[in-house]
Amino acid sequence: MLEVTMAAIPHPTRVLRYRNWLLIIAAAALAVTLVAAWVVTTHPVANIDDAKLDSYRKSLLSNTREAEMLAYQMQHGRATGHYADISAQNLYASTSDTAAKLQTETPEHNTAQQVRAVADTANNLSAALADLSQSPDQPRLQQIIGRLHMAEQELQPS
Amino acid sequence: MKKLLEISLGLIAALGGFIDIGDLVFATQAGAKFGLRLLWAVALGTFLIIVYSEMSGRVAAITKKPSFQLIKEAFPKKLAITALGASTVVNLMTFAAEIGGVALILQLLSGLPYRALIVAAALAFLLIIWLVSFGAIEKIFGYGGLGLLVMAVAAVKMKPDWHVAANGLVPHLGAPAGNWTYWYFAVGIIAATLMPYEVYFYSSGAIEEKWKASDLVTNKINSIVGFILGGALVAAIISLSASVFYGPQIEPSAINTAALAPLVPLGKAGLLAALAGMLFSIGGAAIETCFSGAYNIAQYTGWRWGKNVDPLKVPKFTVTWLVMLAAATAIVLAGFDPITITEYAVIFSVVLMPLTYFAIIRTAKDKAQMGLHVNKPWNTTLAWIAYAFVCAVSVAAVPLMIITQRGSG
Repeated sequence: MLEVTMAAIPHPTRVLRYRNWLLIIAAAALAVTLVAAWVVTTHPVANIDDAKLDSYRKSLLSNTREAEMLAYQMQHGRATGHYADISAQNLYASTSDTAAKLQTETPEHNTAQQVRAVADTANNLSAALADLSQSPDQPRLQQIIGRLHMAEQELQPS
Repeated sequence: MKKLLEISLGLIAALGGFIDIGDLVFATQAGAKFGLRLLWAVALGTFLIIVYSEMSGRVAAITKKPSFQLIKEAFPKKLAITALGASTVVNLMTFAAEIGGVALILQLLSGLPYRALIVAAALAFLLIIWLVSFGAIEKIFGYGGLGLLVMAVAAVKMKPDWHVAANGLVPHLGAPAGNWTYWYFAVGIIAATLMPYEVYFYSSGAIEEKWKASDLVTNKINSIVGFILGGALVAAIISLSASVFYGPQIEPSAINTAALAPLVPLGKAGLLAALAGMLFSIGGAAIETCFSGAYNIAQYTGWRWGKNVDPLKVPKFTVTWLVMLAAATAIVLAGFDPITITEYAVIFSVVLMPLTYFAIIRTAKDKAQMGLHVNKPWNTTLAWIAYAFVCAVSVAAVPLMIITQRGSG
């Protein structure tokens, strides 16, 4: 049995037929992945058009609703302190990053007014999230939840 | 008792090998974006990993050859070296992402600074890998990872619509199938389930544990029961994420959001169990990727290797995993986001799949090497069907990543 299992390995010619194709596919996939990684990470800053503004708005709305869910858990003493603080900090970082983009990127002419409105909401939301990450007491938490609700309403698609 | 322990290895492999940071990231995002519509991708991924892990375990037990040695024998030198280089890059990326993930979870538990926790996690891995035996590592991280079962409890507590869940087991060719993002996440889930490091580790572990023909029943149970359990857990994470995040359209982009899902139905106990489960699962996967990287290089070069050998008696193998640990730690310390690294690592890993799985099939159906335990015709048919899916995923992954801008499109 041992002799059988340790027998010399045949070198099937069928494998050789596929090798060049496999080599090409592997090399091409590797190259495409690396180029894609480069393109995605160094994507040049574009103007804010309707689609981009909608993407920012959706991201902010997602952060707002996640923050509301977190705040509700905090209000009922269900989240641990560290978890709540770090989660709120992460949401703050993501929101303020979007707020910064809204202020630094150039809006296209037809979106300028909307961009300003969303940027204002993003700034207010960032401030609320910064407060949420400071282990607020119950009255303060209630006030933050109110600010989050307001941001949610402002970010709803019209 | 011994058999029971061996079967527990299946559970450990399922959780340590199945639930890693890639599964958490893709499953949580998929549930939030598409509800239960991608459950079929988990089922398909589970089928594929069962087919290949069973074969790789059987091949390792009979031929005493781990996966990377099979790759070396199956392909010309240039192609084998390409596979080695690519697998090393993917292992390193995955290992870095897992270290970052562990540090993020420790931060959620302790509130301490992230970078300090990266260093602490790396030191902990160094000590564990050096001092703790292979068997003990499997038990510590496997049993700790069972904390993730809280995801299944929470998913059931959220009362999912079982009819919709059953519907999700079939790919949707109508809406939202026209949405490229849907297919990107389908591919991501399958790829995360089928990460080649899991097969490298599984086959090398079989050799470390000195498996022989009499262990093939255990191998079969481990592969089928263990991985079905792992697949069910991934499905539970998707279901839970769908229940909590899909309605309010929350897009999870961090590990803390994944932990918010069990917090909502189960409160603080659910949160802590989930964080502990994630810590051990991701920690176990980190050690697996570290070993996989060192195993692959040692097996290709012919160095002596093995976790069960005194580290000083296998110096090249030991230096290799130490370098892996240092490099992965440096990557996360440099500020790369673990979630982003994970997404690239999962998608990049699909490039390796056709090479890895071809080498396994080739040996498993070779009677000269496998003797009585050679693939039955139905085994080989199943393996080639699985291989067709693997190739399809491999071809689709990178274009989908570009088109959807990593699922954000």
